[in-house]
Amino acid sequence: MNKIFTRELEGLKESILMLAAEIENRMETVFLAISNHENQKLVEIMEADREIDAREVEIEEECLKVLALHQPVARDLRFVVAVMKINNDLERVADILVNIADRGCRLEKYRECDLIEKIRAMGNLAMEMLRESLACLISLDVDRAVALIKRDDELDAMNVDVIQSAISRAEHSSDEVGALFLYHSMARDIERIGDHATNIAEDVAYLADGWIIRHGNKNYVMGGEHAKGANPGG
Amino acid sequence: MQQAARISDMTAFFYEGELVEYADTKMIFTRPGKQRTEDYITGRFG
Repeated sequence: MNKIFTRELEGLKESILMLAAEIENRMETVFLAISNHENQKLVEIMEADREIDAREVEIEEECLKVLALHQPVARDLRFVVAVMKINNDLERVADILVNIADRGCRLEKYRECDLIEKIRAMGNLAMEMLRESLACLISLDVDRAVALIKRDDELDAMNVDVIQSAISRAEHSSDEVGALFLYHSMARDIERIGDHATNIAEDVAYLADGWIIRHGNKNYVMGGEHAKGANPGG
Repeated sequence: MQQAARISDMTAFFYEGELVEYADTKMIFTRPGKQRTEDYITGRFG
C-alpha cells in the first residue's frame, strides 16, 4: 500500500480526533460557565468559533484531496466519507454551542427561573452522548454505536418535558416569559447535539461494516436482515 | 481494477487460482464480504 496514502489517512484520523476533543472541551466549558454564571468564558467560546470553522474546512479539503488523488475503495473509502460527515456534524455542534453560550449570557437577568436544573440534566446527557459517539469512533464498536442511537429517545423526552414545563409556566407567570423562551431554545439546541451524536454513531457503523443505518434503514437497531454479519457480498 | 469497477455489473476476485469472492461490483468495491478481497482492492497486498 502506498506510504503517502497511509500517512494521509492517518493524518485525517488525527485531525478529526483532535477536532472532536476540542468540541468536547468547549461543550464542558459552556455548560460549566452557564452553571457558574461566567459570562466572559461564554463570550470567549462564541468568539473562538471561527477556529473550528477553519479546521472544518481544512479537514474537508484534505478529504477531497485524498478522494481525488488516491480514489480509495472499500474500508478506506468508507473512512474518508465518514470523516467528511463527522467533520460536518462536529462543526454543527460547535455552532450550536455558540447559540447555547449566547442564550446563557442572556439568562443572566433571569436567575430566579429554576428550569436550569432540567437544562443541566439535558446538557449532561448530550455531553455523555457526544463523548460516547467519539469513543465509538475510536474503537469502531458497532454495538456501542447502536446502543447510543437508542439513547437519543431519552434526550428527546427531556426536551419535550422542558418545552411543556416552559409552556405551562408561561401561562401562569408572564414575568418569566423571557427566561422561558431562552430555556426553550436551549433545550432544542441541546436536543440537536444529541442528534449529531447519533449521526456520528451511525457514521461509525457505516465506517466499521459498510451498512447505512439511518432513517428507515435501521436494520441494525431493529435486528433485521441487515444485522451485523449478514453481508450478502460474503 | 478501476476499469472493472467502472464497466462491470458483477465482479469476481480470484487469487492464485482460487475464487475468493463473487458479488455485485458495487458491493465488492464498497463493502467486500471477504477480508482478502478488501485487503487486495485497498492495496494492502498484491
